[in-house]
Amino acid sequence: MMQALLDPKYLFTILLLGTIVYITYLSKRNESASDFFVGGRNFGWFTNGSAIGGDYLSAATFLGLAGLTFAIGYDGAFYTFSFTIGLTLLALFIAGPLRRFGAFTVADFVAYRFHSKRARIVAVIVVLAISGFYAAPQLLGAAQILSMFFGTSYEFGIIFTSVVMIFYVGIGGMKGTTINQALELWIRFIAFIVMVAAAIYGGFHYERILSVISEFSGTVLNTGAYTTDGKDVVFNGETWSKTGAFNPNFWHSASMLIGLSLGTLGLPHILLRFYTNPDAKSARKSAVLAIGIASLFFACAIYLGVVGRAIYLSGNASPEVMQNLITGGDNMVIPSIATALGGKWLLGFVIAGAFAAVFSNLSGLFIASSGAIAHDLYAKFTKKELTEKNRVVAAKLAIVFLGVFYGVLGLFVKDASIGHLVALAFTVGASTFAPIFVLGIWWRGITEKGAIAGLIVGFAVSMFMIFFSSILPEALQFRVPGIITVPVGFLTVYIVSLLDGKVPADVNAFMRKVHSSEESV
Amino acid sequence: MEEKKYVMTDEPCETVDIKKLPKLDKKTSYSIRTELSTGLSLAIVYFIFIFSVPAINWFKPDWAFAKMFGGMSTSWFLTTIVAMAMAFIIAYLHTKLYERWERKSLEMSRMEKKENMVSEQKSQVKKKGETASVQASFVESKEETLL
Repeated sequence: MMQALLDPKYLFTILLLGTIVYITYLSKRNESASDFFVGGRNFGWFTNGSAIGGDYLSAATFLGLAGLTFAIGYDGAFYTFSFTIGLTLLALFIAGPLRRFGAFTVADFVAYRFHSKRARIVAVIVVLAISGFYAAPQLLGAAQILSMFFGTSYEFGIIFTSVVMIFYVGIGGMKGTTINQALELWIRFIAFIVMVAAAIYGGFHYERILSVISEFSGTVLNTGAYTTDGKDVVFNGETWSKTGAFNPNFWHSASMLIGLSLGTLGLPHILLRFYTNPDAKSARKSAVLAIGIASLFFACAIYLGVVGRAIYLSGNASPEVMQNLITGGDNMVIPSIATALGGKWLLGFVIAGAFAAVFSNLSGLFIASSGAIAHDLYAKFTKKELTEKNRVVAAKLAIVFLGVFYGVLGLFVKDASIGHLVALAFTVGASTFAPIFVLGIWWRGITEKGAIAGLIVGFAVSMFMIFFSSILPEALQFRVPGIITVPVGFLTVYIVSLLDGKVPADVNAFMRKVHSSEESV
Repeated sequence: MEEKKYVMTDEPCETVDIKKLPKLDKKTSYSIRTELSTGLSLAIVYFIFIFSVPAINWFKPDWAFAKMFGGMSTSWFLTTIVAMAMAFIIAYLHTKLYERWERKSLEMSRMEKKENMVSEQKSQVKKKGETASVQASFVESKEETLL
């Protein structure tokens, strides 16, 4: 038993869980709804920026992007590149005004902007849908990690992660979640930096290994033992180094860029983060910090994917590493590289990083969804006057409900593709909330009917384009259908608003609130 | 039409036809214009770069995948290194430009306040002066009457 606990993968994971418990205990005092949902708006730009990064860089990014680059080469790097754009757009158009607006939840913005309970209900449904689509693959990833490294069953992985999340978010609220997310971001970021340093130290120079890979053509040595047909794997480096493996033409690439970049503008757990800053200036600064971290993180992920491919092609890695690279799937690439570069200690650190990624992303989703249920539905539609304590209790009960709900959802998506579900969340976000936030902040002409129509049409079209794409003509079967669903979302809001023409009478005062510099106010 | 105060509530609020909506005050519309033009100009530069990557990949593949140094092709370099730096640079520039604008607008509003105060003081002094001269002329006229 003691021997097993001293194994780095157990040691680092227990250390991580211990730290989470400690931070959660320290930040358990959530006396008001403001404390619980937005951490009392007391966090500085550094903590907030780190937490935004923690929210954004999920398990899918920590393990998946390097794996994708390893598997499909240039198109995997292009997929990663599409993720880098969203946070910058958020900083340019939304971060500052959203903080100046200063509410609790994403649905608050929609409801208060148009003074509409109907808009709030529609927004809540979309928030829960996006969070569900995003949470399910995170739970799936967590269960896979537990199963891969600790030999647990899929069902145990889902239940364990759900219970940890209920404890972590339910007790800590936004305060505990923010501090934990910030810490978890730095754990996985350091894990990546250590891996990159080990790779460079090991002689894996970027341009040199890219050259070796692109010139490689033929069978990869020592791989036959791990394939089903017993033959060595054939690899073509030239195809790997160019585009076409994932996106068959320019329009697919452009669609991916639009969907993934604007999707970030509509992710409730990311938007919510801008309410926790003390002011608009900090909101912008924290966005810049998160972008800096995310960009470096993505660059490292791509490089590590290339390193993985170079290790694989050399055929010199240990049998365990070779087997994992061939049969383990995309998510095993980062752990395999860690084992190859730094043995079991680096692997232990990387596993802790992977858990940190799952926990920090899921906690953001739990907070966003619990706000939607407790604040947007219960507190707003209940007849009686609620005390601050009642609202906090409602939020905690919502977290227990979400833990069970997401857990059940996780059990149903056992065989789903993580990438597919994440792309769905991004597409829905880009086609629903992105138009409402961009136009709601910058255009006085948007009306309640326009906003509701945009949310409904954007949601329906993106669901249809993802789930029923097979019945569409081949030219319209996009993996990320942003090129169709995003313009549909924006145009619906614009056209319905123009036809309606009835804007709230206080729209000028709203514009003054979200666009005046705080100091001058 | 009198402007309504903004209250954060989802209780129904009066609506107006967009055509009858009064114009925004100068200060707010200047803020929106400046903020939006800063964001838009940076976004346009950024998007030209972003879409040029798939464009060259598909329409100029020979150039896109020509080796620059070692095995690093132009497109790999743009996608995996330049793009990452660009995301940060654009956001950083935006923050800096916004902070500069904020300082300027703050200075302007301070100057405006100062000017308003000075002109108010001047008008008060003038008023006082006028009152004094009226009083003086009143006293003079009274003295004359007495004499």
